[in-house]
Amino acid sequence: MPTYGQINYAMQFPEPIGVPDGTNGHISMWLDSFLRGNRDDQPRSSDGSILQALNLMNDTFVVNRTYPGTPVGALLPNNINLANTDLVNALFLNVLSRYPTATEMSEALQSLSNTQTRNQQAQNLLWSLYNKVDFIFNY
Amino acid sequence: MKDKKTSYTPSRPAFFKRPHFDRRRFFEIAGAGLIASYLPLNPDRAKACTVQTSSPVTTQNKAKNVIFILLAGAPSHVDTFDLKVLNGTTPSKFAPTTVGGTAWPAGLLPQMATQLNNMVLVRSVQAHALVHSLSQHWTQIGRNPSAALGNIAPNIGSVVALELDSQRQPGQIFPAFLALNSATAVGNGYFPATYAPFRVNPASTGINNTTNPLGQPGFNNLWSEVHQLDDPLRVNSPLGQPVQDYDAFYTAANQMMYNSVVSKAFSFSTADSMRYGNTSFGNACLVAKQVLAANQGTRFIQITLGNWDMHIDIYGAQNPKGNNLFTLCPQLDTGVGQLLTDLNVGGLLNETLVVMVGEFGRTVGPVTPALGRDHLNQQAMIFAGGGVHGGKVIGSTLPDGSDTLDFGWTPPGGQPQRYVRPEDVEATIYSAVGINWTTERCDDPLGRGFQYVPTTDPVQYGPINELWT
Repeated sequence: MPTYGQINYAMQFPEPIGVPDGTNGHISMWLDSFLRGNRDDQPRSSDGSILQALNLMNDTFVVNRTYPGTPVGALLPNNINLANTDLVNALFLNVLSRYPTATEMSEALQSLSNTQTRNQQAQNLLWSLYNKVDFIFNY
Repeated sequence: MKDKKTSYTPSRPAFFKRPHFDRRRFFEIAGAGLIASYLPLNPDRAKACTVQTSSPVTTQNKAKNVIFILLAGAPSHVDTFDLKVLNGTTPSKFAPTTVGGTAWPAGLLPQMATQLNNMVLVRSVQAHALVHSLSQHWTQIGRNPSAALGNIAPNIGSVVALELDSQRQPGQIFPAFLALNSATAVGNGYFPATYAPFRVNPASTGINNTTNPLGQPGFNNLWSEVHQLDDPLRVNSPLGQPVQDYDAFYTAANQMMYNSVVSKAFSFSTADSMRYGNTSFGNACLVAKQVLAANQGTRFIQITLGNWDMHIDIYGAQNPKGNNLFTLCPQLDTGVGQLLTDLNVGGLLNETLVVMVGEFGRTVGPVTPALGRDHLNQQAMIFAGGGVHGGKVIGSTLPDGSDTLDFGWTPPGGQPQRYVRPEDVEATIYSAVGINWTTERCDDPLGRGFQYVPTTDPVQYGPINELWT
């Protein structure tokens, strides 16, 4: 990582452009796809795009959050032993900061009902929460 | 009993008890007036533009696609597209020659030399400003970024994408506007995000994130899960159109996943990459060709090649391996040379306008004490394909290249001859693909009317029709 001198103005912050980050600028590419702007002549935008959908569905930033083995995937192992209803509530509260609606709860419970595939279904549920439109639009 | 403190004279209340404006009341009244001044008294004044208009014009309408190569950092025109040989300055390795009457650094750009019969050099171009970010932005939106509509103006590519997307055939799944190696490309402005540049840094493995770590069956489970859970919000969304638009992006993204058409167009072999120079710019040219050959609805491709800002050691006299013309030009030369060759072989060159332009030019004559060249308005650019009459030069410059001698083109409407400006390049691109460049839209959020090509009285910008004659 490069070192930076004293920062006097927000404009001098190394973020959000031109910072060596991730492998091949992974972080920049990700943030750019969400149109973060550059604090100078490119205003921020909340527009959507195909690239954003691809990133949200498949990028390791999101997918790793559903893998119990990864550092960012602690949410699932911490809650996986809860009863199904509590697990669904916990995931919704952690990702969307709200309780599921009755329909959402019944959908989620239905997918978790098979004990054989429960862990995988819990991962799928968590992934779906990160890909819910209210997550994308609110956060 | 009277309080002496509040009334020194019976007829007058104390100063602070007199009727007066307190601070709150003052701001209430002043604020109301201030806000009212922004409210339109006349609805027509609020919306200057209510009907989309355009003047009848004849467009060239000879190209279907555009490849826009932005040479970011501003290449030295007198060393490349407007070669001026200066004894003692121009390196002998330039091998200056004359190809069909055109002075050309054959040692520096050998492959492009063989393509001069397909290219038109325009040497009467001048930039409006000499600031990199401003002028690069200007070049991409064809207007002053700091003018009224500059902040919301879409990339030229977004305009082309919006206008030509109506010609999209069923089953064509690629985004209309592709931006290769262009992380900082100007976006879609106020246009819908469908017309935003689809940014890809080409890699031999194709587009990132078109496969899921769980594999295709795993992904299909995820896909059905999210739709089961989220369709109440996605389909006929109670949250409105933006959410449904976002669902459409998901559908389009899903179409691009595990799709052999996508992987074939966006991935490439080592052999092909070597042919294009094995550089990121070369790979971008290769992918651009493959994407157009795939014919999947992509109409505008922007490619950026940076590092032209050579203030220091432009000829690599001190550090031959540093960033200088001899290390950068081969990337451009091999990439563009192969691109034009392959487009020509595939029959795509005639229907694809290729534009190569920087944001301005560089100083002329002997190099600076830092052995480099600084910023200058005068510049030169290249058009190829799209039916342009290759092998000719428009405009000429003074013997040192510092300014235009002969403009070589006539702006529309019988105006006096003048420099080619970014706005003219924009109009030329629109004309080439059949878009009326005088279109004025009325859907801009400022309600001022958005002109595809801005009019700056008395200057009327327009296409360089001489490219096609």
